[in-house]
Amino acid sequence: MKPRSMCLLAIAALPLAAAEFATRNDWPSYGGTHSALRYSALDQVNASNVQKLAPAWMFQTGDPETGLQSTPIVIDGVMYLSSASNWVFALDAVTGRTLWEYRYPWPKGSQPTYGRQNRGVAVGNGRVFMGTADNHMLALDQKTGVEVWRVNVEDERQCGCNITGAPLVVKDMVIAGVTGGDSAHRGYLTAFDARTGRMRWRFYTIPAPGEKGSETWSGDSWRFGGGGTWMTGSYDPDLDLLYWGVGNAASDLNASHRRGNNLYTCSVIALDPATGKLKWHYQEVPQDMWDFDASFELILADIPINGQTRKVVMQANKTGYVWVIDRVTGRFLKAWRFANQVNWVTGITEDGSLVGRLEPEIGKTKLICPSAIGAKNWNQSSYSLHTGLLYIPVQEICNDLTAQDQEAVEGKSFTGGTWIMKPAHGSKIEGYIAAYDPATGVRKWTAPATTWILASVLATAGDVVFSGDPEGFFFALDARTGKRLWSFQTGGGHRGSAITYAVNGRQYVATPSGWGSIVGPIHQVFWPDRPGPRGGSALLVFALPEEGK
Amino acid sequence: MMRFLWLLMVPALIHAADDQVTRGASVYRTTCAVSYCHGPEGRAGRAPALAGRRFDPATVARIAAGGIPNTGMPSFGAQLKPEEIGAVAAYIVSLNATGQPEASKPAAPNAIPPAVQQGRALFFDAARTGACGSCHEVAGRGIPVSVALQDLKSAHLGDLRDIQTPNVMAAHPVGEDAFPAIVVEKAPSRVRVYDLSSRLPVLRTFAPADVTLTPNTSWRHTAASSLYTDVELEAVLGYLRWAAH
Repeated sequence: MKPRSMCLLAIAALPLAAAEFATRNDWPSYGGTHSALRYSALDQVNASNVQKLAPAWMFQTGDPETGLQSTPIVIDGVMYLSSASNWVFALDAVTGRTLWEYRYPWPKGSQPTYGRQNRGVAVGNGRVFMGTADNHMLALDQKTGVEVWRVNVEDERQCGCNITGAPLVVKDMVIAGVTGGDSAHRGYLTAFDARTGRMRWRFYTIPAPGEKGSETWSGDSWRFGGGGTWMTGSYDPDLDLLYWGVGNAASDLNASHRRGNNLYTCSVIALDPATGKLKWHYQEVPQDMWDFDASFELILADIPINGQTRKVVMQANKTGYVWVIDRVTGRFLKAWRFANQVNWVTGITEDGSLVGRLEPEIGKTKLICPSAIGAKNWNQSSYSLHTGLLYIPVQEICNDLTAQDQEAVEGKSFTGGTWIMKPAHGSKIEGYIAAYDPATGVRKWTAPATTWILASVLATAGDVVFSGDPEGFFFALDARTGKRLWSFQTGGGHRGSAITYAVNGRQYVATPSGWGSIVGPIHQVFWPDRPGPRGGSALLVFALPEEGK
Repeated sequence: MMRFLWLLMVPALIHAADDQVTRGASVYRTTCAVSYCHGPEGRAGRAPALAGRRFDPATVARIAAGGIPNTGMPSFGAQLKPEEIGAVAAYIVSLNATGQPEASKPAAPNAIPPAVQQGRALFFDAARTGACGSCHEVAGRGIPVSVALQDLKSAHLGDLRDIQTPNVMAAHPVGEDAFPAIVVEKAPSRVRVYDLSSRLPVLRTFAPADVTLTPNTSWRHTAASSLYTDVELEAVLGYLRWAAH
């Protein structure tokens, strides 16, 4: 442990009031705060005492089919948790006692397109908001769990799309994204009035003919060009800008029918939350051909770039790169590589241009890295204000890609080819958590997993980094060295997002447990000799033993 | 030619030991189940469920190798070795005893006459928020907010323009302006109405004491149909007349 004074100096050196970026007692939003750092200022549990963490309570959702991928929300000592079948629970965050529960009434025979799964709720304006796997947005009364409003956002049978991500509350609105990026579908972001459910605005991620940017799509390809918004965005109240990541272009692997850069797929977009109008965009991958989503968490931070502190938005995504963008102007600042196996480009220039693209071709199979699963998927990174390090869950997987001609049929699968997951030549599939200086891209340490890490990462001011592995271990690493400090076998594989919060001065660390999701079954293929991940759907909550007990 | 040769071998491969099913499961999980297509154990996904479909191995092998034109199903004949295709087929067949048979599906779009296609596309036009399909269900598609569209065999454009909407009430919530509403439920414990004031109808739930319903409303169906030109509405009518038969 470094002396306390050093830590305070480190905080002083960071130019921001941490309150807007770090969480404290509550975990109010999907990514922690609206800056999505997944970083908490709580330090009661720290690198010197984390070994003493012990279970405080445990909760079984009773809804295990696709595991528990959720991020709990905690506000004023109440936890709000959603499970795969769109059940919502309000729990006493100290005792685990159920205050209310809501079960979404599934239509008979419903078979959601992107699977029955859910990654979290949003809470605000006295409501708990959730998207459903059959494409409804709904609002529950925060005190009683009684449904207040519900909107069928688009007929799931038509669009081949749904909602699995957590919504985001901005002022008196709730903003929801949509899946469908691998279907013949045109993505959008929708804002609803928090009180009435009425639509305030919708931003299509693909411009229609005549709109700015439509010249980046040939023919009718804009209609079914993908551009899903399936994960959760961020919000900067000072700039009053809403940030969202836009996913891959469709068809995924074959771009011959969509000549042009295909805006705003594979882009970070910044919108005026009052109107839904585009303020700026930055396209990371023009004319994507690899199923490289830019959908993942957008971390808002102020970091030194070339000696000057900049307001940035950072994104680590499937491409194997971290993209650092000026969040005021949308200007490209930097892209640095965080994965080892990257060959889809040979590099990225100082102005953000891609060099040496290795593109899928029709009738020809190419081994391309990273794979469509990505060097990182939706499970989130964490950025610590205390260490100034970005902690990324990384996996090294490549895939054989073969493009094919395919006709778009609305709402149906529109992949434009095939992919087969495999390791790089002469290498093996592996996963780890790595710590980076986001200003330089320098790797500080690597903590290898026994297999891979498909759970999110959580960092705290106690200099502890938490995550969980597929074999059921929830663990703590030293934020400065990566050394494993503690672990606990939870019984189920980890696919969700741990959080930390405090009630009455006591800090708690909570983690979902229970393996599932679409990439779940692939695990046994990659690691046939390891114990297979266990399903389930439980939440485990830990705390330090109370003195005198 | 080589392709046909190995297809003939497939039935023989199917009778191999369980390890072929295991091998097929591996191939399935790194190909067929990826990207939400056929889902874990063939049970869910964007592509049809494969479990419980009583497939025979030759059919699975043929489709896996050759794909299905004009659908999302690509061909794996060039990427997977014949024995891998055979293994996948064995694995899919091993799922015959699991899962649920698929529910009956509405007619495929390509079964619709070309002249009617345009009207159907307009009715469900995803590019206009508030298209007909966001309030009406036809042939298993669209959101059933309002009444089912029936007996439109001889409807005319004028009928569509002058649609009377006695089912639309006025809802007066406490502390909020009145809005046009379709009543879904009036029970002692709750009142549920569709709020039509937004392009996406909102199903709202009130305590009975918190909302009053009156028959008077200024809402007109033109609020929705004005999204379309007369020419487009004629095409929509063409589709509805066809669907009524």
